[in-house]
Amino acid sequence: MTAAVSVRELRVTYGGASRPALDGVDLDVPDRGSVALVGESGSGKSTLALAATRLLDGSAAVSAEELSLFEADLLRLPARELRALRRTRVAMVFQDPRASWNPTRTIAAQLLDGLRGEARRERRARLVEVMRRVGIGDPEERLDDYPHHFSGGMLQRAMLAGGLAHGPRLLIADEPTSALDTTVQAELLTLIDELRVEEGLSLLLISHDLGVVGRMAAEVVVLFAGRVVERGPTDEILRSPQHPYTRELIAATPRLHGPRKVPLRVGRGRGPAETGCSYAPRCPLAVEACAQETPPLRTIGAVQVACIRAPVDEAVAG
Amino acid sequence: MSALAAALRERALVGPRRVVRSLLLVVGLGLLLVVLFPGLFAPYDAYELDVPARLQGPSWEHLFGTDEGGRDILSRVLHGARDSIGSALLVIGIAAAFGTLWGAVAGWAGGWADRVLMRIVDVFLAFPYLVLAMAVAASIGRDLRSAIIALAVVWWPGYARMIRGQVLALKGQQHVRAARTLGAGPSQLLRWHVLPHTLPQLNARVTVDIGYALVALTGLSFLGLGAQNPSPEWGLMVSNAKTYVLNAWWYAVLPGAVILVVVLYLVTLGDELSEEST
Amino acid sequence: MTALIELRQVGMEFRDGRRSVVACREVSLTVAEGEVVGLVGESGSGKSTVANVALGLLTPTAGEAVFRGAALASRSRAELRQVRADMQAVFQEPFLALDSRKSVGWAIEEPLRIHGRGDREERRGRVLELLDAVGLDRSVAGRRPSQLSGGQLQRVNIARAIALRPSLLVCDEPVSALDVSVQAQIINLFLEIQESLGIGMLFISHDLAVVRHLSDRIVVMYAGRIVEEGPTDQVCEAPHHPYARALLDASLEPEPSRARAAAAPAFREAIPEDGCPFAPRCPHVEPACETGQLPLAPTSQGRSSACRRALELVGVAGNRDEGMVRS
Repeated sequence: MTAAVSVRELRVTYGGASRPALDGVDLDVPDRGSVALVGESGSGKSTLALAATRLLDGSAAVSAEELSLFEADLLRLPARELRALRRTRVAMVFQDPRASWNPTRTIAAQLLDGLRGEARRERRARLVEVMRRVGIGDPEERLDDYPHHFSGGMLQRAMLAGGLAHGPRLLIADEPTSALDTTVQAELLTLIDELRVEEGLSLLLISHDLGVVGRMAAEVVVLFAGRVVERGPTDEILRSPQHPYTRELIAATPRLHGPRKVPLRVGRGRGPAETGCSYAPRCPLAVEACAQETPPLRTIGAVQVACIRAPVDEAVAG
Repeated sequence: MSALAAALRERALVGPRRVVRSLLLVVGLGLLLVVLFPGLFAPYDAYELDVPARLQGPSWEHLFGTDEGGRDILSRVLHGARDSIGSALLVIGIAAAFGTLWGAVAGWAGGWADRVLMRIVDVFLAFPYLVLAMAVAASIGRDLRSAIIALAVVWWPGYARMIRGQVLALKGQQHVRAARTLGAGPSQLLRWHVLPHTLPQLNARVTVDIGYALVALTGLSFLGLGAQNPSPEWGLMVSNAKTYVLNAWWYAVLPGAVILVVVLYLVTLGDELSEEST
Repeated sequence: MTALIELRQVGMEFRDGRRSVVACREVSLTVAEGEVVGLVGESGSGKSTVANVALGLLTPTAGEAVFRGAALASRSRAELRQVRADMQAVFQEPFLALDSRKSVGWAIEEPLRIHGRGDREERRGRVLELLDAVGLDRSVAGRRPSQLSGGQLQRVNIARAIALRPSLLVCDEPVSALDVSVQAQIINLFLEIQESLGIGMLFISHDLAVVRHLSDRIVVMYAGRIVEEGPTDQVCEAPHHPYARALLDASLEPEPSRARAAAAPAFREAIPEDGCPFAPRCPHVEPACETGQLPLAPTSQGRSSACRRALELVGVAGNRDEGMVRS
């Protein structure tokens, strides 16, 4: 089975920036698999997803040993074929539903843009079908509505519908539910799950919410300052996180059970270090050696961790 | 904000633009000096007659030649800068100040006050500007002062409308709401949080308009409605020159060229400033 | 405990020509001195409207907002100014709440300047103290908002809000725009400030876990109405309204077991005019739910619910501490 996404040693630097946004990152999304990219803003997670489909514009310098999408070498593919590949194989859902739609055009007008080739009537019929599939009632009428007639959750569904119309094999979802409440989020995530199973989609999910990640992805890649700091099966990592940053993310999430009205266990965030381990300034376990050189990714059991202090005993991390 | 957006914002000022900026600055300073101290630069007196030397072409002694009274044209041009540019500044200064006040009140008050105030503005804007200016100038009196007043009357409605639009938009912004929550009253809100944000657009427009006002002013003088003889105002000079245009081309062309260059400069400066504000 | 702010049957209807939108109706809630009340609801539930009414930025079309015993709407301009010194706000977007042309120090000083507290020297000193209190470096005072991160900006907003030592802080989604780690830091800051200054808070968020972490009491809103109210622990352990139950069940925690969340309520769009707004999505709906009034009624000590079947559905043997049965 061909991998959906295969990336080796990806380096991305935006024009005019002093540091790379991504510094030697590997990524694998297996066919029909689900991988989540986790990190804070500036970690490079959105950049990674965009780079994997070559959606970054010319101002970004991109280099990689390998960059392939369903076995097509994206580094060598001519622009037109690249665009066709993206259009037919990849569906994308972005974070803010209101920002992704043009308020002056109907939903139909905007979705029809993306479908080319067949006659208008057939394209519209296909849209009606996928709109129904994603759970939008009365799709015939709703297609002619404007974005402001739709709720946030509905807009995300419509976005999914638009992507599905081509029969894609990869779904990239960038913070798809962060603007929605938990019930709407639950519905949308369930929908994505169903679609994955039925259409055989691979999922590349970007989220800062570890709860969503735990629910949706079999594998998680934790990014910090443009580098992978931990990678492995989601259950394993949530059960026993090895990298101090992963622990920080988990500790920072307020819970629905357990003590409340007590300070959450996070340190004072300090900017990433220029040399050595970039997380060291914020790390409760940092030692002198951490500032010397960037820790390499090592395999510890089922996961890969970039930390010289790992494996860490739960008690020590306390 | 994504790293992408941040990187795009870091786009540095590239070479050629820097050169243009420096040039504009130098020319601006030069103009300012001429307006303030024409005597430093003018080789001759602007008014003293020397009839035997009349209508001589450009030479080393008289770089721009002489006019019908034997006066050095270059000196008159330099002295006239104060009248022309100075008056243009005055026109726009008055128009901008008055228009801003009008527009700010209309935009902030909203409701019927806004409607009434803007209706009046619409009435003014309905007239072709030069016709209105001529009418006002002719009725007040034929001199530079009335030309200035006439043009200010014509120019203020544009500012009122621009400022009113901006104030309306700014009124609803979150930082204004936040300041209101702090307890700021309308005067404080306008002074601190609304009007300062209109400055970039205002500045850009003012600079461009000074150029246009200069043209309008010289136009009025040309028609006999502005400065009167023996003032060295540029429009008046060109008007006088029309009688001699066939045998003394320098008399009309050279001052005219100066007008052109100065206006171009002002408009370019305005464009640069508006680039910066967006 | 004295009530700081009281919303009494507040309703807000926005008219735009012929169309009208009811943002909230029959909303009654109280925040007492030193108490933290959390308001939870999705976007569109009316919670931001409630915030704006509480702050006096909106005059309700029904009911009234009462601060320290006197209705906001009936106060003179001078009195309102006094009220403003006592009730402050922190909003969602850290950058947009600040004037981009003014330095951060100027922004923090602004409330002091508006209310004439101290002379320039004293005000400057106070600004530096406030920067310390919110954990920012003093050098930040001279910078512009565009030079600071979201987390830093929110600290600035908080510093500005507590400058006058208000009794009440209304926070409208103050951490929603922040990264998880930064969000945690700001939550900790809120905890610290609330404890040290004894400030009453109305904390509004769509994130139940965040609200739970900070509040003494929780109010749950749906489609412009309050559907449940009670002490935080009790509401989160044993909810008395099907929507609150659904919110809790749907919440995802970063736990290893990827057990599917309980089946999410069926997807429906329209909010019905009559009867319970949650009826189309409720697993316990019965015909009577779709018509008639639904008052917020007490279900046990200090708790109330707008579900007409609450008492029936809660617990098996009528034990109110069991909470709403799952579908």
